[in-house]
Amino acid sequence: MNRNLRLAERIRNAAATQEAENVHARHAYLHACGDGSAEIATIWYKSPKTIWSHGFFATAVGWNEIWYNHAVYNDANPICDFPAYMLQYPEIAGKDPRPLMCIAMHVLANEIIEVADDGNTARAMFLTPGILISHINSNGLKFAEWQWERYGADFICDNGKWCFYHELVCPDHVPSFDSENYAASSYKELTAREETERIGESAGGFAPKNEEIPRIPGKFTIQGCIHKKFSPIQPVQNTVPWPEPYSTLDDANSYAPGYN
Amino acid sequence: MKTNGYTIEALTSKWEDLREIKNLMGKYSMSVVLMRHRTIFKDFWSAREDVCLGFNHGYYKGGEAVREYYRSYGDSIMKTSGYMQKLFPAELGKLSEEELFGTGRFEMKPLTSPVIALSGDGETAKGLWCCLGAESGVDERGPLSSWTWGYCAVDFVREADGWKIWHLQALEDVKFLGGQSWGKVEEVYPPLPEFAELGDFKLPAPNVPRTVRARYGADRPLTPPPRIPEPYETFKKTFSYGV
Amino acid sequence: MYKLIQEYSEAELIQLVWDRENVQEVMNRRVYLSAAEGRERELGELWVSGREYQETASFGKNWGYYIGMAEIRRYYVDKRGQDMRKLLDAMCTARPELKDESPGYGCMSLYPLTTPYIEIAGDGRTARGLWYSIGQETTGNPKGTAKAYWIFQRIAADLVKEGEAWKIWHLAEIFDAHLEPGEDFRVQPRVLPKEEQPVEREFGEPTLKMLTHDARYNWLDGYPAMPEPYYSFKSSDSYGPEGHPHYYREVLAK
Repeated sequence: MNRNLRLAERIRNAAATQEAENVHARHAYLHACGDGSAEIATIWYKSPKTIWSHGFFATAVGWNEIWYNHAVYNDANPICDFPAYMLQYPEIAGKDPRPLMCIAMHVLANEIIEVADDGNTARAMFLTPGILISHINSNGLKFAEWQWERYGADFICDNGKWCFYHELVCPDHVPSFDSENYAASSYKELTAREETERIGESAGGFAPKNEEIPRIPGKFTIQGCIHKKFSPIQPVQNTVPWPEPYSTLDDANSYAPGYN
Repeated sequence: MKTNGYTIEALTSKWEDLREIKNLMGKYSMSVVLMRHRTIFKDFWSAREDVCLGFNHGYYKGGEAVREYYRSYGDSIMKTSGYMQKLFPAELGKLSEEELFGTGRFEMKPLTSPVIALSGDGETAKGLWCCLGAESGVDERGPLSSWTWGYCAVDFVREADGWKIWHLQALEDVKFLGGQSWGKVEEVYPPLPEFAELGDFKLPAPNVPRTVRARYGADRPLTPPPRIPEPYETFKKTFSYGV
Repeated sequence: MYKLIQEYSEAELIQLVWDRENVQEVMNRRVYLSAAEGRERELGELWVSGREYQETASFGKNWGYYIGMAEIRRYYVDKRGQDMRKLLDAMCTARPELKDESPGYGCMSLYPLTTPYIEIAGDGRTARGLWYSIGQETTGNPKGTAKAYWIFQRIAADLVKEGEAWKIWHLAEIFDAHLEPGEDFRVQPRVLPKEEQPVEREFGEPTLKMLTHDARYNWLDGYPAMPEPYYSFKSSDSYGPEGHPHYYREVLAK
């Protein structure tokens, strides 16, 4: 941080640091109860340059595409799967399917946060030793898997309100909870030369989806994964370098160069 | 920290100290993820000679001992990475030593729940964190991952280029193979023949060997966390996480 | 925050910044005192001391609330002490060589806090916070082994400023799931026998028994809700029993 700013700017930036933390925490809790609509509508910057990128999927460009993936696509899936859940648990009929699907709790730890000298943006890196849990599933079992990830996020102050501008999600390991030794499993996959690495497929036991129900496909402008999960032959990745003090968000100080 | 009696400027400055210390420890922890053991000492530790790095089994006291610990740790990482390159030449054969360094190992020990006390004189600080960690390494049993539970207790000193680590205790209550319970006896994984030649790597022993903290076992008396930082005026008037 | 950053004066804003940090510090101190079984010290140092607050203080979990500091002490300090003593006595009966050991032998717990989301009231007198905890509880037994659990819960708190210090007023530890390490969550029964519900058993008999959160349906019931910006404290918006959406049904309507 820059301690040579005017006192008012330094205080403003101190408060902005905490607002950035609150925004990311708000995301975590809304995501955990499946409320993509509320999250994207209220704490994401409505701009064609807004970015969301996930190591296992691809990159969504622009608020509209992020809305599509996190609200339209993500909200549709629980509704499509809901009849199968109701067969197992009839008492949930009429309830909101989204929080019923899963507690996707990506906790926030180990934060490194910088606010720009101009006070308009903030950048943060977190480690997230998270967990996906559900007590219900369309096959009548529970499911859970660890989701240890790294986050790199740029935030922007939009009309006085802080929101996400760019977010990169980098999963490192996602073993099932909790009977798996993920390094041993990964080595076994390598040496058995199994193609399945569970990218996009849950280790924790999500029941297979009913393929007969038509689903809304995800939509990502930029294809390609930005981060690979751990394996014993995965070299070190620094996909989301921690932020350093900076004066203004630009391509040299951003998790989305070219989108500032 | 009590806020009465401070000017707005002083409160701002103290908050910035707090944030810098949190960022410093965040970067230290990330440097472990990024396997930057070869530069961690230069990047984050004080230039003072009385630096101190403590683990469950003792302290590395003095700049030379701490530096040597990290250097050796870096060598152990390279040994693992080199071995994985030999086993997987198709995937790793073309990597340079720099690109290869760290392959085969993974350590993520996020820090949470900070309690940080800034000294009244502004020269030092103390902090305590919890740490739920995941690490994986390679030995004669092949790649294996472990869960760790522990604490990180740190004294900081302000130097010309910012806050630096002065004394650090990285203490573990649990280091247990993933897929098993630390409440039970750890089940053994058999050695794998392809890892028979990996051999041991011994890190240098602490130059102040002692049991700083016993790992958890069903026969361990209740063991409180490291002492929680309390407000203090000068470092002489508080306790040290060093030795 | 209650206003936009630019609407605060410098003095107000830096005070707000420090209020948030101090609230966070109180809750983090609690993590370490709790791990040290320093519960009496925790109640004395970190919880409300003023009479009006002590009478309305509460400690809630999925199965109800302890209301008033005397009740909270009955559960959080006295019951815990009795349980630990009973366990040690059973250990000593099986293994007389442990007779000089203290309660807590073979035990370990830690409930770190992550994902802080803190709002300070517009009047600066109270605060509300929500955290997530991935914790563990490990308990020894007379056989010389131990039972460990991963414990996942939300921790919500109202704090009030007494003098210069923030103090815990209402606390809710709302449990989501637990599992023994090394076990497979997929095959854990949905309805567990009582002896496999350590968190519920440990909570004992609260002052007000009510189901605050049914973990079997993930976060469907939405309790505890995230803090929202607010001006001044209202018990019906708190993490105490009166703030629970079913308080009317469970208490007032009866």
